[in-house]
Amino acid sequence: MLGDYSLTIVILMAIWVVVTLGLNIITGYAGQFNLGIGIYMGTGAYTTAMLTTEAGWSFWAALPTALAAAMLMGVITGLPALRVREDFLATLTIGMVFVFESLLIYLPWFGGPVGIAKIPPPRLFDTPVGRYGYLFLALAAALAAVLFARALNRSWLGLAWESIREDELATDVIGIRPPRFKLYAFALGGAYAGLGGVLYAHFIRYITPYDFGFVPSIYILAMAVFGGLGTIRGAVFGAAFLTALPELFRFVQEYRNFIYGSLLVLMMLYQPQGLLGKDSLLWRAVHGRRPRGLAAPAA
Amino acid sequence: MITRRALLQGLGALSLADLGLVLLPSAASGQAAIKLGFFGPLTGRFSGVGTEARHGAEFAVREANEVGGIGGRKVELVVYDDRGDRKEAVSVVRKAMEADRVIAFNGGSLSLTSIAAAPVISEAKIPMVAAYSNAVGVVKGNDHVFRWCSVADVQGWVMAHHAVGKKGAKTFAMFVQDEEYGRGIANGVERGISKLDGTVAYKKLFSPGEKEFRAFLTEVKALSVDAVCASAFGGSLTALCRQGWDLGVFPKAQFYGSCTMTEIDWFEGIGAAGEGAIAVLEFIQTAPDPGTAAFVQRWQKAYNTSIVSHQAGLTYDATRLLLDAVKRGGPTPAGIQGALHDTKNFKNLSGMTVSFTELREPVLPLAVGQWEGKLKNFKLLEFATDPALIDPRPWYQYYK
Amino acid sequence: MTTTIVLLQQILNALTVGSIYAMIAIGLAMIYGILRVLHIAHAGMYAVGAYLGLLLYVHTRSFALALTGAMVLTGILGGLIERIVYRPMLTRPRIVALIASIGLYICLSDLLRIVAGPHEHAFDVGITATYRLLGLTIAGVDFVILGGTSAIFVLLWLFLQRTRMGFAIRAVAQDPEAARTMGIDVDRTVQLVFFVGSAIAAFGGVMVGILYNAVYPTMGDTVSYKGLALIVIGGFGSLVGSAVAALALGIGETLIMTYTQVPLSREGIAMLMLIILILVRPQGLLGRD
Repeated sequence: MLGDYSLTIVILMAIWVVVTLGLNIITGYAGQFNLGIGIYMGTGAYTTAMLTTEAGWSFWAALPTALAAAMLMGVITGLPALRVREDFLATLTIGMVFVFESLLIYLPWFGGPVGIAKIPPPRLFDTPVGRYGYLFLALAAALAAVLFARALNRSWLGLAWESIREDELATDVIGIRPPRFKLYAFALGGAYAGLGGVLYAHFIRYITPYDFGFVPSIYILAMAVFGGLGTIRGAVFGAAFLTALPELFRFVQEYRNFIYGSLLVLMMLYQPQGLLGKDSLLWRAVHGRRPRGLAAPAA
Repeated sequence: MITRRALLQGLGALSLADLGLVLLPSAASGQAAIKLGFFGPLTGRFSGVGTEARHGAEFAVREANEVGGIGGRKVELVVYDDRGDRKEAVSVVRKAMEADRVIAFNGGSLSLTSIAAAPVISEAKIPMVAAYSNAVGVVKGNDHVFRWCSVADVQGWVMAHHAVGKKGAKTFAMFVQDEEYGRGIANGVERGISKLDGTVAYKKLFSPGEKEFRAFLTEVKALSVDAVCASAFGGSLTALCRQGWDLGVFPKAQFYGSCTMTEIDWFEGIGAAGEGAIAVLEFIQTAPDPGTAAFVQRWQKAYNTSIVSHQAGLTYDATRLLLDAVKRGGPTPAGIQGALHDTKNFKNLSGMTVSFTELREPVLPLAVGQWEGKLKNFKLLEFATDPALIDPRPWYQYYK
Repeated sequence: MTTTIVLLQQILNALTVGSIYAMIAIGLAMIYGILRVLHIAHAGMYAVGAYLGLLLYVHTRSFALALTGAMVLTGILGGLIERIVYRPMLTRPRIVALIASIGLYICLSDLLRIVAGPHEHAFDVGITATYRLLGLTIAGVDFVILGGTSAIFVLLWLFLQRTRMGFAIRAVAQDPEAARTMGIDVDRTVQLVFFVGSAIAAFGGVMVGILYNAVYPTMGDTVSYKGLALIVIGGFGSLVGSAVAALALGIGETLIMTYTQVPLSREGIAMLMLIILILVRPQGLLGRD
């Protein structure tokens, strides 16, 4: 049976999969550079943390509220993003996540730099959900996230996003108003990341502003890009692999950051579409050569 | 053809299989070694601190093994890097308990990571001795976690009493690093000042790692306070004191710093400034006890430096205590737990005898030391031994 | 101390901080101007420069030699990075270069830790003089920083405006294709920009190392993201704009942090200004994009 440690890793993997899928919606599908996914994850986490510790709500009651809050944050941050693109957008999101982290640290209602501690575990029939229970919860959430993302991708939303990503001006011309769809992407991506945040908060049971700042956001972006931006398989693989990587390489734990950084650079040099991205070597090898013209729904 | 789902499943299985490989127990070697866990920030922002702690722990283990180990068994230190990151700390302690089967932990990490790892360790009923993390939350509520250093607030309390009692200070400026450690000390300082009828004329909070204080010090200079109390990690304390010296704030006002003043950053960076700065320390290498001097000499031979930093000294001492508990209680988690609980009058590295209270906090005499440039170290001024000053229990009420 | 003196002292303190920011911002702006890359790894050049300066100083005992040596070596490193990392990525989506840059920065910081150890190293070049003037305190190091920054500005301006290479740089920044047709070696010009920008960052790193008497692996962290804010506030690609933004940020940050209780850290303040500016005036203070 899986020990505590393996459980921890798998649960963390599931959490990052959910968050990365969210980023994938915003940046991968809708093409909106977002270097601050931590904002939504943090909103979800802090909402549930504050509701369950100070207001005594249950995990299940806090969950929809936290998701709604994250969604709202997505829309709020999406609005300024409507005005700018590309580099400006990237920089804007960096600015926003820094300010977000800063506000969490300095506004007293959020617990300050020491964050919120003793977040209770979810309860089912009045008993706290045990380790396996949480594993089930996290995996179920990840599965639901994957399935919903697939559904989104195949829906008219997905089509609109792809259109905006490829050529925003043309999309506007044919009557599909990009701003609305961009906001949808931010809202949904935010909700995903918020869900990840909720799962994170009740698992680690201690959150601080530093957990949701710029650096964690970049790590998540790296997961998405590493696996293959714009694809579900890429987000899942990238998240799972990069979560497990430090564990696999514990024997080089002294050089971990160095290896991680080098890996990112090498990936960007040689496989920027991600290890399992649309045209990567690995994906083509596994999937059999398919003529590029035929649209295979990205999944 | 491989379907997408199959691929995903395959990858998932691969990852888990990889984990399995990683979890394979290390090859047994004859008489099984006594495994002690250690986690600390070996890479990342706080790597200086963690590396020093590691040296301290490794040195203690090495010394124990040189005299044959404990009960004929070698002691092995299982070292993990938590990168100064909470999630990482939680993962590594779980791994150490499960895969390495450590029987106790030497917490060589900062408050912010220890506070997340402690509940996990305690729930698994494995004992831990926190070597240098001062936040109340690390021990409070975690029945298997002990602390072998002071609660942050106590340092501040002692600081305030010394400043008013021995230096006659009436007006104060405070510089507070805005996180658990800094705030804890500030809590003690403020309450002490208030009880002794002093006033805080200026208080500034700043983030860890801050180096630019001249603007704030300019303000302080204009206020002409008697003493400046600072709580921060070594690098910031050094910068603060140097800049204050350059601006002429010190030595006119007395500079007081917290236990981290004996970090390598201070020794390396303070230069000509800092003469007469006073620190409240949990470990002071210039203590008169012959045991301390002997230790410093052994350290010098092993690591080629005459400086024993704060984290190195405290972690060495915590390991020493842990090893002693193994000797007294037997090499099992329960035995160690019992032995730690019963620890009374154990001589610490600064030569002071220390006992645990029922809260698993020690009543730890703190050293007040003064920096002397030509000595290139802190001269011991006195030990604060009055229980009214150093009892950690009253401070628990301020933390959930 | 009268309030005017205090204020003047604060401005003086702030100018030093602002000058350092300007050193970073200028290099970043140049690089962005010519390659449209958000070169976060620039902070790595800054840190590497500081370490190289320290190393050279320890071996030669000459501040001048250490400074110039650090600038030249870091410049070369910058040029290499352009060649090896960024040039192959020019045809890719922009996010690729950004991620590579972040990876590069992580790599460099950790490399510094691995090679030189995690602790802070002292960097004392003996500029210990402090001058008291009308109640103001000015450290000798401040003079060097302010003087050096001004000198670099002037030299850079002369270089860009009065030399052929400078002209090439401006041409490529404006329109690479047109420049190419004029016979300008675009690749070499870009590499030169990285050389110059990185050298200037090294100057900043050395000066900061001396100012705070601390050289450590993560010293680039604070400037990396702030640098982004500066490019934006200054106006993507505008050198004068970034310099002005840097000084303004230095002063603004200092005054806000000292006199107000805004619930933001130093980075937070810079980032808030960034957000406001992007939304209100996306071309920045003096940009033309």
